[in-house]
Amino acid sequence: MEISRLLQRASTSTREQACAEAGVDLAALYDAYAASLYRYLLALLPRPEEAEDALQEVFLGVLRRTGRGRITDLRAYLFRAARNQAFMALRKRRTREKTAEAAAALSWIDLEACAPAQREIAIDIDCALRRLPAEQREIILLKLSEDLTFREIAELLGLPRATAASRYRLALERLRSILGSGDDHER
Amino acid sequence: MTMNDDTPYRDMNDEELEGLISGLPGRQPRAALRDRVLLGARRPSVRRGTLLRPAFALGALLMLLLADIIVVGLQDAGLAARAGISRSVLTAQRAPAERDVPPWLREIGAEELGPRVAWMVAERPPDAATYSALLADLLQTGNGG
Repeated sequence: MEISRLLQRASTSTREQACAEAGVDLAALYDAYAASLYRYLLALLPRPEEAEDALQEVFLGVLRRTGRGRITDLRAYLFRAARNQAFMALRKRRTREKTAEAAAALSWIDLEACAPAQREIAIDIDCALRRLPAEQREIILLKLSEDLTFREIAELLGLPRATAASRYRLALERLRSILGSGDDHER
Repeated sequence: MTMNDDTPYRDMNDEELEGLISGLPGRQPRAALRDRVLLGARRPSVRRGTLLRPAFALGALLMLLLADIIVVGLQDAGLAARAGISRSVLTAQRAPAERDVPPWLREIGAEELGPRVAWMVAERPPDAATYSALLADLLQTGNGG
């Protein structure tokens, strides 16, 4: 992959060289992965501005990593970095505010971009997703929106593959139950 | 509420529900965020002020140490001036050299009281009356006090 090649080149060069080239490399990296990572962060973090901050830290983290060896699976690395950033943001939020928010402010579904025929279904699903616990929202996004395999999801979450699959089934069941209850808009 | 009364989701199988969710468009990050990330990458990796804090702490520590030395020095000088002796006597760690100790001081065994006392008495001998009183006391009680 072109981006892997660019990143590997940055990883083997000195930090100064990597920074000099970073404008080009990082832009390519950002264009390829930012949208996926942003949606993932929206599934984990309650506020979109926190997701933006975490996304920025993920890409800057890639730069800081230059010179510390090659990244073998770039996508897995970026998703893991995004997850770590999200947990760091959640830890900060807990010590700062002492109140846990019940649900995400946004899901990853872009309601504005939906076709009129999709709109009502999209709103239902958006509301139902926001009511799911973060870990279930996370696994549904990884499987359905980002198309990760259960093996990749298991590696990312540090779970056995079978556990990842059963967590996904459970999340889907819970989502169906919220959708079926018909009260998914009452928040 | 947009949900239909017959809740179509209830009867969907997993594949249908999955297809429905995966077919929905996902959010994109704001265009301004791209600029912010790329701009952030061009800035120096060490944040402004990151080194300032430890440097300030070290400076403050040195200032405190310096202030302590000055205050103690002034106090010593004041004390030495009031006692009519040199300031080095106050901080003496060793007994005075043999030639600096007057014979009468050795007579009453004052060196054994410690280097500071020996220095002090050697620098400022007591008058005859005090000497007599000290000697009498020493002979009587054995401690010169």
